[in-house]
Amino acid sequence: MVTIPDPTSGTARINLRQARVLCIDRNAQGLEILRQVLLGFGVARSFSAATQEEAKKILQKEEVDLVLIDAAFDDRGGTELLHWLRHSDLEPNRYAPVVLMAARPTQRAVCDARNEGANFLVAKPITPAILMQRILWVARGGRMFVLTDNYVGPDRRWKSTGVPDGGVGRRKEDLKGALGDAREENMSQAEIDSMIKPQRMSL
Amino acid sequence: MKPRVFKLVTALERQARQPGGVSVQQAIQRAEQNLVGLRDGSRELIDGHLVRLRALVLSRRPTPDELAQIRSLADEMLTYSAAAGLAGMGDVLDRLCGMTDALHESAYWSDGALEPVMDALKLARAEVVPPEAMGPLLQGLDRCIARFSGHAVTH
Repeated sequence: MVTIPDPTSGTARINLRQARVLCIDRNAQGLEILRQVLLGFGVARSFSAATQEEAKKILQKEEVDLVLIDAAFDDRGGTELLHWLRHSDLEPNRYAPVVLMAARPTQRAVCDARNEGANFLVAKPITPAILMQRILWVARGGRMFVLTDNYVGPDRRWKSTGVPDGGVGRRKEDLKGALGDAREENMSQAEIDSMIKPQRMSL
Repeated sequence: MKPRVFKLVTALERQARQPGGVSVQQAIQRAEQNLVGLRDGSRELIDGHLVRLRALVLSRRPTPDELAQIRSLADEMLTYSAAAGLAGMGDVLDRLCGMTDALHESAYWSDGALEPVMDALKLARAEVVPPEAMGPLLQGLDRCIARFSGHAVTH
């Protein structure tokens, strides 16, 4: 689980004056809500699209730095557009952070969003504080990007728990050598204590 | 294509770190102030959707198409609730989505199954639920969802 710090605490600053954000939602009021929130965040330039065609035209014509997609967009789902974007040859837009927004997403919706390359899936309602948290997270960076035939998007692995039993590690840092068998029995805590006795000391 | 995993520094990362800008707290406050201007319009849209919801929620089990319409209306209302300034409305709408999902997955039906969440919506819209009562109300709705989810058909 990823813990995102509360943005309302502390003295963090953010500069989104140059950021170009594409908002995609079939709902006019939804687009206006996003536009007003982004305006409050200091985003001077935001684009709005209500259909896949509009969104594709903008993505083909303009460079965007962040994409916000309503998952229920255009009835076919925002993930379809996300798939198209990630597998397109639109540089640098295909690498842009994408945040999907969904009403009480099911586990399948979360998996779909993740597998199509979303950076985040946020549950509605989208309050300014929640959207800012996610923007701060993607703006912090540090997430690797993966390009394969089957998957294009940010690295979906959040933690490294080692190579699965019986598997072969694919990460550079995975040890390649095989571990040998233990040479002797493991020691019990009592045996360890008998060798290294904690000493009480007073100054 | 040969798989590639690489460090990516996006334009957003570079821009966000530029000097100047505003404090995060100030940015959020300004965004919240901007939403005040959309409050009345969002409430009107919610009211219109409540009427349409009421027409779809009957005493019989909703058809799959009706369930999809209820889900879609709840989804849109959740969007509007971001600017409507109605305490608890988002949480209750979230439960309405949960209830439609549970019904969609379950063959189980009990007359009036959607009434508790519809009543809760009315209360949230009228802004008559004291903050301390919202928690128990939502817990009750969660129990309704769990009851139907428990009968879910595994596909």
